[in-house]
Amino acid sequence: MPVADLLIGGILLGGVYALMACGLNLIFGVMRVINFADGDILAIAALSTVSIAVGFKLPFWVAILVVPLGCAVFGVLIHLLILRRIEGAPMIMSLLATYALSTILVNVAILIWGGGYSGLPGVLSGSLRVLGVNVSISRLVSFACAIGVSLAVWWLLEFTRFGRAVRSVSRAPELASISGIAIERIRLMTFALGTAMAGFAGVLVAPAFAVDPQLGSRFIVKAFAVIIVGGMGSYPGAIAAALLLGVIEVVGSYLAGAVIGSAFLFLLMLAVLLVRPRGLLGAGMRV
Amino acid sequence: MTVIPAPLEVRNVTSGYGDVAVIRGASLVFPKGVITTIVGSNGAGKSTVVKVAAGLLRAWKGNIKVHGTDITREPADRRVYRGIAYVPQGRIVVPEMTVRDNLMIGAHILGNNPARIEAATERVMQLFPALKPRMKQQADTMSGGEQQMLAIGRALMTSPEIIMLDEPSLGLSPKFVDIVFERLMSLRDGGMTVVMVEQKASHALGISDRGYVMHLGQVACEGSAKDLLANEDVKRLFLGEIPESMKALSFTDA
Repeated sequence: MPVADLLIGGILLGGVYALMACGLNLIFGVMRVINFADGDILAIAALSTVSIAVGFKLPFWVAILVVPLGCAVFGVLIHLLILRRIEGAPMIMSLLATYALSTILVNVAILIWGGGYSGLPGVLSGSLRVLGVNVSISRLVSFACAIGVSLAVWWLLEFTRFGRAVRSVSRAPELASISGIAIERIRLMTFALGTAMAGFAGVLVAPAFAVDPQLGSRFIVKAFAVIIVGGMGSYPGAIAAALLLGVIEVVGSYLAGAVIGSAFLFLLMLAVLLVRPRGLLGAGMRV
Repeated sequence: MTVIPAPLEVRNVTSGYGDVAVIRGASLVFPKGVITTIVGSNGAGKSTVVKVAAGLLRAWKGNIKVHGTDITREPADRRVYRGIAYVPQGRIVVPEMTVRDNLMIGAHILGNNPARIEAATERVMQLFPALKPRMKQQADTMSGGEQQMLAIGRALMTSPEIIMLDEPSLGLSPKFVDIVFERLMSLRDGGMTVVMVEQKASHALGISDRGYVMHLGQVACEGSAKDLLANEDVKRLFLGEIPESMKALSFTDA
């Protein structure tokens, strides 16, 4: 078994899961909303990146700037038009609303881009030798950016005034409000940040993986698995679990083929739910 | 002659939960540099008054004024910028955050101004020196009395002009009650307007300058704390008996 090959491949895959899981975690922590449409935002961001680079023939870095920003604006709209109207309602409401949104986004994406696969093989092509293994530059860059942004957002939450405001809204909204924190604005900004993270993950996926409108549903179930294994609301937990699950998926695919390979990841999720329901690093529910 | 408006006024306010009115046409004035205590039996609407003043409950009717400016429609977070601080009932702190982080939530409105944050922290440390060695400790590992000091400290970090406290003595040992009351007096001496809701009426009125007695959602009587403590009707009310004058009030109102 080419151990180094599989380990590196898995860790690189895990980077994108980490970024997505951190965004979902953030949104859940502050708003108690499980955003089912997050994966589809990632897919549309990836397809838009392909369009920007191939269709409009603009450089890749344009997509890095424009796409996450566009997703943040989209997040603001979702919050203002949908989520704010059902705030305080039972969680099933936001679950259904984002699920409906997810279905709409997939079909809109199929209308725009068609159902086929596309990609950006020309961007960041070539490979490097790492620990005696050939690693594609696009995957290496996407991993580094995904982990970099995940850690940056974690730093933002832990060590800045904005982060403290976000955490206090998450843990004690009333206390935040009587401390002068505009909780509605914090929720709006958090949701926009979360969707921007999904958008950035989409940009990073485009050069490294084949993308299609259904990509979102494949990514989101894995991101949920990451959150469950890492512990709901735990940032370090999500990053560690994402890398672990990336490796398990790649090793599983090597041993049993791509279709069965993903199943190993969900087996681990089931095992964690049975043995340690709050996740490896989760402390109940917190951000 | 110009009349200087009080730092905080509650004018003819009706409010409550769902469609049940808890206070009906209550009017209270809180003068500068004075400790005012609101007393009354359970369900009299004492806490509701301060919640409406803090902006956590909407006033259905009536106005809230700060220095004469109507702030009835302002949300709670804007009122903090007007100098209103509120310490909710039950020692509300963020349990898994450190003492420092809890205080820093209170410092939110000071922006990213290290000098102002430092000065506010220093003031809180002078008032509650017991918090100083515990800055890095997680809030839920402290005793109830220490958590109450932290809750008050968090409110004071906003550098308020008016501080409202809902049952600050609830569940505290007599030693901590004395500490908290003594600190409220020193804040008053520094010119702060202090509003307190208390179940332990005689003890609280003992350190207060003025008082309101609430009954069935309305102000039953008001006056200097000394007069209230000497008032036979008030004494009877605290013992659970309803004086004739207030019985009449409750029936005409219904």
